[in-house]
Amino acid sequence: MKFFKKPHIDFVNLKKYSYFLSGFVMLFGLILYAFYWVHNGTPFNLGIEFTGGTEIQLKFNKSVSINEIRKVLSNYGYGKAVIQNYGSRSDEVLIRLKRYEGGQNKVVDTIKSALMSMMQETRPAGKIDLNSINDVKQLTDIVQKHPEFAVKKNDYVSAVNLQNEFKAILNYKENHRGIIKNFSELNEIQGLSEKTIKNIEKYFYLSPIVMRNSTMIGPAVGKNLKDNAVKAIIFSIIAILIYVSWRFDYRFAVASVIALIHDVFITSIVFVLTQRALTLSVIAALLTIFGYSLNDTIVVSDRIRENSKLQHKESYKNIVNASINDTLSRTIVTSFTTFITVLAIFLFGGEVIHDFSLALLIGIVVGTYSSIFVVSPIVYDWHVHSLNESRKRRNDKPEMIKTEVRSTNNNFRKFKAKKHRRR
Amino acid sequence: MSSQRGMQQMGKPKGRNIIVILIFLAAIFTVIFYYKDIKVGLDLQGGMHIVLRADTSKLQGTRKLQAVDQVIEILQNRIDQFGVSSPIIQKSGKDRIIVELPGIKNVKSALALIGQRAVLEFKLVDEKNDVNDALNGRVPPGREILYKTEKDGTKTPFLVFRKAILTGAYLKNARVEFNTSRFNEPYVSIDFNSKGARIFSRVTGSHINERLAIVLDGKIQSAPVIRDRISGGRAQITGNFTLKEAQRLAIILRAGSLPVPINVIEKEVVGPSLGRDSIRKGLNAIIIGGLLVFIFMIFYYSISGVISDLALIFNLLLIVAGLIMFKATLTLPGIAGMILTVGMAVDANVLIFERIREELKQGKTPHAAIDTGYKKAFITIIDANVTTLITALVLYQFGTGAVRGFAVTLSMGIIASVFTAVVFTHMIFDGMHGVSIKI
Repeated sequence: MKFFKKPHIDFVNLKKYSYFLSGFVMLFGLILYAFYWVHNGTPFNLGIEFTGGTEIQLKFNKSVSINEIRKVLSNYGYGKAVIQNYGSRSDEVLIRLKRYEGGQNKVVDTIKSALMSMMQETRPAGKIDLNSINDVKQLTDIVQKHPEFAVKKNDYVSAVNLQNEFKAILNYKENHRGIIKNFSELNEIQGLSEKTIKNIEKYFYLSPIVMRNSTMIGPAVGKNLKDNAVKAIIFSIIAILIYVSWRFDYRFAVASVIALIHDVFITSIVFVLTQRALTLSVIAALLTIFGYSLNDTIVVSDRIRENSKLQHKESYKNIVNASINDTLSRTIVTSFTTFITVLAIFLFGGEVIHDFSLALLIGIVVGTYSSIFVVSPIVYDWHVHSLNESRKRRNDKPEMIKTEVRSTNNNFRKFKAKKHRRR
Repeated sequence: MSSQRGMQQMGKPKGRNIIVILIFLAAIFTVIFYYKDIKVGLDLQGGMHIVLRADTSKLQGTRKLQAVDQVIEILQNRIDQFGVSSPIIQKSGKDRIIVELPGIKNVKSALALIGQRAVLEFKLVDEKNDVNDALNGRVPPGREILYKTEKDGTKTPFLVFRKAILTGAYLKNARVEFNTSRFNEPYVSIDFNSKGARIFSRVTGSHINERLAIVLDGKIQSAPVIRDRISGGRAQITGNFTLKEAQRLAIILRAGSLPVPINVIEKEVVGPSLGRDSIRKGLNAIIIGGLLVFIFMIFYYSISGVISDLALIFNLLLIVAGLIMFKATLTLPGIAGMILTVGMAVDANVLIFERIREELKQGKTPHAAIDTGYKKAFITIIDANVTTLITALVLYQFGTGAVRGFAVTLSMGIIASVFTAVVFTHMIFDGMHGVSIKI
């Protein structure tokens, strides 16, 4: 039931290792940032909501080669487009361009037809692409011209049946990533009559490319969003500084903020290294790490404060160590449960939320580490330092007892009493 | 003696227990009967999100703001008649308009509905001067060249008088009718108001055998020959419309034309298949994540673990009920937020249990240990969760759509988890007092 008997790890002594490790990783990060800054002008691969432009997600009815797509697109002047696979799928791509067209689809249409010819398919004259229709009403509207689909004026039953058949087709398409690859698939759909299938084949064709998502963002919008993101980060830091200063003291507040910046910075390193898109949701994840990492920090700080009050005969080093050890099992259990839930999102939550969950995943691990190995050492060292300073200032008073570092909540009277008991 | 004390303890928490049970029942009731009312974001049901900017550069002063409000009203009108469920049309800043149409599946149609300025003009065609002359550059003063797109796609130029004799402002009504002499081809029949009807009658009467071009947004829809004076104030707009197109045009004309041009500055279209994928994956993640935590808690804390698991279920219930009650929108990051709070909610329980353990070790009775454990852990729980709440609130303030959904479920989840950890589990523990609890 309990995995931890009361641990007695001397964390404070480990601080030189943790300073070194954190310092090393952060230095590595800074170098990485600098490298990408020089190389690309910016360390991050900013999401389209920040840069503006056009991004489309296309699904093909078979695997495609990114290089081939790139070749085709550069023939049309879109050579600078960023093309990547959607997740791990070889038949789905994301294409991103800086160009923005004010809501018109010319760019998108050009790309689509260029890729169509790459797939060696042309639109059969007079037929309509079934894959591009998602609306039952639209489908019903289109087939009205064709006598095969005609329904007698007052024959509501047949009309409804036809509608239901269309609904079934579109439903099937929605469940299969938006594309029907082959008319033979229609045979698998329940409730479709042979007659309808035949008629559909007569008037429709199946495009090999389907657009599953498209985003077009004008340049002015991106700047606004960037500003908001920066404001959000600054606000969070200020709010946290104020709150922690109020509940504890300013030393804890500053140590916490340093730990937070440490956490977010290290998490961001992964995004610079992999050049994964830094979208608004990734920033949201980073801000969440702010708040979450603070949880652990506060629990430990709370203990330190409590133990300082109760055990003021102990050295500060022992107090800090005891506090961390006390809360260790709680910290590990909570981080563990949060970790496995985010892991579930990361593994099963799908592409759309992949970057978001990656950021959270790293943030949880780093955040736990920093609560134990960053905040406490800083608080401890600061405490020692300020005590040493005040000691030096009072050093000319001989009756003061020297050396051993004590908690600041000490009662002056107890100094004298302890003199005898101390070894 | 301890049973006497037990009886005393039983009387005190009664009030708290009742409140908890009431909240629990209310939450279950809300979820069971109103779960269909959950508002689902664009990323989960597909749809369209556009931001428009009204070009008020040609207007001055207060007219600028008026124009934007007018645009919003007209768009609202159009969208209402189009029949979209829970559309959002909002002003953003001075001249921006956010239009969100969740679940819309015919994007082209919706864009045409919103984007069309719908300036309707009636202009006389100048047949006395030669169109080809004008095409070569010699446009007589007061005239212009407009084009009509034919069935086969070719464009026919017409030389028309620039000044319109009638505009859409004189419209009283627009309806879809069917041309029985042409395979029931739909067309739009418009009625002028009395002033418009008078003008129409005068013009048609004095220009018999001339053509009248019906111009929509600068493109000629049709240019029929005036056979006779038309005094009924009724005209027809034909143009090879499908039924849908005719209906759309009728809607637009009825709602009125936009006073200023609008530009699309942001457009996001989420296909329904993507939305469906996201829902499926989101639910998978919740179930798997939830199960993992469940099992772990039972494994690590045995019976107390079961109690925390009950609290977790209660949490999720509260979050969903909260979403329904506050009409908040559930997005994919929102689902992630729910999963995150499942992992984090455990925290509060853990804090309490660890405290109780410590108290037990110090030799207190189970009941006293429980009470003290809760008291001591309470402040720490509040402190720790307030910080995450602060960042959630900042995210809500500065975030957009999907991110806001995350902030909402995160906030609700935190509040719910503090509530259940402190009140709900305490209630259960109290109920179990006397039974030796292995913590």
